[in-house]
Amino acid sequence: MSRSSRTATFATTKTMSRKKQGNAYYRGWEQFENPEAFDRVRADEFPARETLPGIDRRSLLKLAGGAAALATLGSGCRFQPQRKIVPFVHAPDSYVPGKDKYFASAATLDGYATGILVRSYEGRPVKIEGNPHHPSSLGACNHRTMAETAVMYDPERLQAPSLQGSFGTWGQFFTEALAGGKLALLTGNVSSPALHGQIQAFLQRFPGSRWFQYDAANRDSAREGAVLAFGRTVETIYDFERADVVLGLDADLFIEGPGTVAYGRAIVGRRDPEGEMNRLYAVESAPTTFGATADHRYPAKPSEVLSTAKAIAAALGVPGSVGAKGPDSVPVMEIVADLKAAGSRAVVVPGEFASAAVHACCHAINHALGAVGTTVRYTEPVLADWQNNSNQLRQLASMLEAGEVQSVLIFGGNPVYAAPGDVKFAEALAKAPFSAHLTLADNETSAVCRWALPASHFLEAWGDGKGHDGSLAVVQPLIEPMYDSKSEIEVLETLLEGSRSGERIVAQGWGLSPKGWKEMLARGVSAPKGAPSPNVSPIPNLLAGLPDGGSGTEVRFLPDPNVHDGRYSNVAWLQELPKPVTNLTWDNSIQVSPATAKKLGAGQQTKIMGVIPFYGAHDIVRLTVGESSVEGPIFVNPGMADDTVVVHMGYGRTRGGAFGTVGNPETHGGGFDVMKLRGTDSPWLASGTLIKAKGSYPLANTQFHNTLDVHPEDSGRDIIREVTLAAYREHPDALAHPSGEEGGAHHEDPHLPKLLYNNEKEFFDPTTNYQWAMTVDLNLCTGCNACVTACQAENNIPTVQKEQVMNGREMHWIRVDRYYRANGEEFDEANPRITFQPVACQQCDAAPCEPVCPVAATVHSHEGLNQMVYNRCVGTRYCSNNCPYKVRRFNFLHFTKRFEDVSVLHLMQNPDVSVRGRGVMEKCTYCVHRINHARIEAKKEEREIRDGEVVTACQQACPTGAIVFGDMRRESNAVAKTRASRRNYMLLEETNSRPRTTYLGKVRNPNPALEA
Amino acid sequence: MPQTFKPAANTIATVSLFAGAAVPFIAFLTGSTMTNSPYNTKQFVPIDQPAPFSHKHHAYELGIDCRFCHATVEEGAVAGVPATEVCMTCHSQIWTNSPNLEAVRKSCETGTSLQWNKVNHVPDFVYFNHSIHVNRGISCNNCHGAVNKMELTWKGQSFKMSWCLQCHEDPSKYLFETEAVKSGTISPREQVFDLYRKLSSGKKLTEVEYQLAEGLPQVVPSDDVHAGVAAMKERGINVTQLKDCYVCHH
Repeated sequence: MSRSSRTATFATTKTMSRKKQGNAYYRGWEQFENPEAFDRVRADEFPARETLPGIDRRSLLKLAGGAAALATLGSGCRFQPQRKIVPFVHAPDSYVPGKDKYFASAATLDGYATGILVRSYEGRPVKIEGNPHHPSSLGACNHRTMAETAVMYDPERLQAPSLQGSFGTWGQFFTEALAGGKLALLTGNVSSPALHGQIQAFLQRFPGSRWFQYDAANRDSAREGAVLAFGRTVETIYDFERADVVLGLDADLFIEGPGTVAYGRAIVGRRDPEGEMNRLYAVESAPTTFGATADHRYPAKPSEVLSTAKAIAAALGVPGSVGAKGPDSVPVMEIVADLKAAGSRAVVVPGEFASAAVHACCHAINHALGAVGTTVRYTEPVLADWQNNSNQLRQLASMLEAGEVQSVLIFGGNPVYAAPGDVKFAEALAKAPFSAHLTLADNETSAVCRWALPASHFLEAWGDGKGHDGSLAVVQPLIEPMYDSKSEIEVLETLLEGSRSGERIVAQGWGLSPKGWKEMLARGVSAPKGAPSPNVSPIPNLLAGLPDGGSGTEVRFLPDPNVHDGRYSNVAWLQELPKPVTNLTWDNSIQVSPATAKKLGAGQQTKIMGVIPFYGAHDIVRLTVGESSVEGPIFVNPGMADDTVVVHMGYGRTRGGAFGTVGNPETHGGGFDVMKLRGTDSPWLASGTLIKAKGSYPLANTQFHNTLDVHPEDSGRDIIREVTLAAYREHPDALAHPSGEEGGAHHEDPHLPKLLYNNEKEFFDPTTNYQWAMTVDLNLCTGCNACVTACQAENNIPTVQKEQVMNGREMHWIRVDRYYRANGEEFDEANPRITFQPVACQQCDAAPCEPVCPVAATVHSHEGLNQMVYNRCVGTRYCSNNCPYKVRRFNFLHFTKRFEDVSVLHLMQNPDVSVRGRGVMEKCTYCVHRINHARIEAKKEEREIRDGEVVTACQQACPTGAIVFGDMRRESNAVAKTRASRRNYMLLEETNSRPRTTYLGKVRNPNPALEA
Repeated sequence: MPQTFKPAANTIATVSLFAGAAVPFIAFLTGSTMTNSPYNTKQFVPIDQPAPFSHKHHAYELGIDCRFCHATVEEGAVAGVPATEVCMTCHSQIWTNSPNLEAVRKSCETGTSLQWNKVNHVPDFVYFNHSIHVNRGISCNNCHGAVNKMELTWKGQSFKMSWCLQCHEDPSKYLFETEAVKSGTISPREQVFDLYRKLSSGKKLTEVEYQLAEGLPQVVPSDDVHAGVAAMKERGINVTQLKDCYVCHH
């Protein structure tokens, strides 16, 4: 099969306007620019089929005949092996085999803990969910936390202590460690009182020893910003529930930083158009999920973000800021007017990785607004002994160089990889006669150290930690350590020559009675205590002392939204999870705006190979910062500020495991390393130059996979529906019936076909059966992707790796589509409006997939579910071809082979869901196993399933509660209420497939003064 | 020129014609008979065990409640096989030197689990839940055969999908309700275990109970079954979704 290829480099496109009426939504600007090519992609359900080997009719018949004969012999003449039942010798109390149990614990990232509930089967943790009692979680979870089970079951974890690559023992290590002098301890940021206590004891026990803290994705900006503004460190906690106006300055509020899950719920929870909606502004250099949610979004270079902050401060009369002028692209005066009108109920939030000056400005602005005490409060720092991480690492490196430190213990992290370029940490570390790295898996740092020690995962060890608001949570193990590993507090305990168990150490710190301790373990988090609030006010003339922003091409270094600072590099779930907004998988990229790409003469080819959609060949560009430079594929990201580059950390690993290490770009990905471009003085921002280099690099982007049949000219399809709040108040039916007719599109249209089968009475008799339904509120969806990982963990969904993603074969049952809105005739490539839409199987009442299955492998249930029977499926893929929503996933290859071959991965699978093999179609089941569990429990108690008793995995994970699920028969049920909303609409309603999943249209609340 | 075909050719031709039709048919019949026979399904085939445990002795002759060993049958998907310590509850006192119990004593001493040979195996990709069946009053013997008569345990039913569906398509044929349940003295769940109490104490059995205790194919209709159907209606038990694929396969 020859691959015909059409190319069009859209970065050099002259015009971006087309003759059209009204608004239209595009999966990407490639679609706007090259609709004919897009039509071809759309026409084929499995575009990658052309990569399959060609076969003629005769060979096919021969093979089919042979297969039939072998299948007869193979299945007919086989006996099942004798299986064994292996009961306990002494059974644990109240143990019910096969029944799940939940335990409260906490997951810690960069020092901050998020409360979790872990579901465990027969003593093995399988799924992580949020802890409703924990203020940082409120029952939800983000994608990184949920992927921690995959970290624990990583087959490449370190299993025994290793001394310079050969086998060692813990005993040997402790003897050596105690013999060494001039000790230093390098940990990540610490909020755990138990660990901090152990460290303090360690420092006392070994006088002259030092403690350093370093996390690559640290909060130095927040710390230095507070020091600039107040002369001391404080923890800034936001109360978004009380905020009427929120301005984010380069703030990726829903993905980065402590408390993202809770903040997401608080911000988006105020966006109910029936009540009072808040108004969100975003000024940011790269599009984030917060920017997409915001009512107004303005692209601005990092230096312009700073000048915006200064200008707002000036307009609010903050001393020392006279004459500060914001960039032309940001309507500062209108924003200020809105902030002023909201007064104390407004808040300005700096991004976690914005500069310290932006943080300082925001403190001053919030003070000037009177927001402190209402929407912002300050407490003592959550992190114990909060230090500037970059300085700490630099200091440790120089002490190592000078020989002032002879023995280093590194707890977790990967400082050799993650050190900024001006800290030669690897060389310094190599000079230490004794070095040890306590780590989950072998990495760049453990390769340099004398000892590599297996660390216990937090699901295997005792501990504690504080959340974003300082609430203390306990970390309790779900399983005994699987390998010969120890936790940080256990290693310190042995060094202190103590013999307390991990639980004893933690429990002693909490000082509870045995009964109180048990209750605490059940709850997971202590009752919130009023943390001391220091009385701080901005130092006078603060703004005059702030530096100006950078110039030229400004480079932002950000932790990757999925693999973070590289700690999740080896988690295939996160590598394959489409990154928010860009939908890129398996790689990082050099992201620039369309205009900057044009100027550079580089871009990405909207290439069609055969009919493979936009198999992206991205030009390689060279990014130089100071002395260092790196080459990587360009990614043109509409909505970015011009002359700005965003690169993500966490890629380009040399010892990152099977999935994390850089490999063949055609099949593996792995990206490029930007850590060394960073400097300790400004780890998140730099000035650099960008030039086009030679060659191109394929990036696996899922954006154009599984497209709904969106035709630009067909405005009646209305995949995405959104209106402004004013318009919604005027025409409340504008979302449900956009064309203005009453009563819906299909109900009154006599020309539309009736249901495909005629047993409606039996199926829809509401007196007998539950009728499951789901609604997705587009107003609440932030596009954070938590649902995708939740579904992957819950339903044993395999990953397929980069090559297969490029072939369009990723297996996610739920996907989050990104749409750009073209405003009338213009596609605003500099700042398109972004909307997200999660799409899973719509469980159509008149499912188009069902009548086309030749073997009845997909049939309807009495409760309205579209059932997929794996054992019947013969893999014709007719169903998927006929699905208008493109939600069915086919196992082209034996994607679950890894689950079968690697024994530790057996433990990770959810026993309630079948693991699918090759040649089988699969799709969202509405978490039917959870429905069945609830039904059985309800039947045993002779009652109906209560509303809210069945929670699907995606619904459970969603931080903002955008997904509502339940029995739609009862009007009092949550899902019946959302379905009755005036914003409720069906996707592709005109196909008369009558989906059970419906969407609530989006309502934005723009500032009338800014609405052009 | 000699004849090409000898007279015997006629016979050969006739036989071939019939054989051509009969051989595939017989092959198919043989195949399906074998597949469905206990030779393949292992139905009625007693399985050797590390310790020759007799359900007949324990459940029927001694009258030990099923739940003493299968402790989670009412609450979990799995009935549960007793831990060694459960066996040793009695056998540390009685039959302490019996050679039949050698494996059990060894397990207790060494702390290694017994390895029983699985008798009843639900086919792959089927999610079966004991607790709901017991709570609905489905007798152990309905699926496991006349357990009370088993010296060594065998598989009482074929566990083929068609066999499951007999009940899932119309459970009223298999549900029954004894006088005790009708009068409200015991729950339908307790009725399951009441059968063995009645058996051990030699009380009179109803027709359905007799069929279950003897492992006979259930004869419908009978009075008890009618009572079960009525009770099902009365309690508003909804069975239309019971034959949905997703009930057992997900």
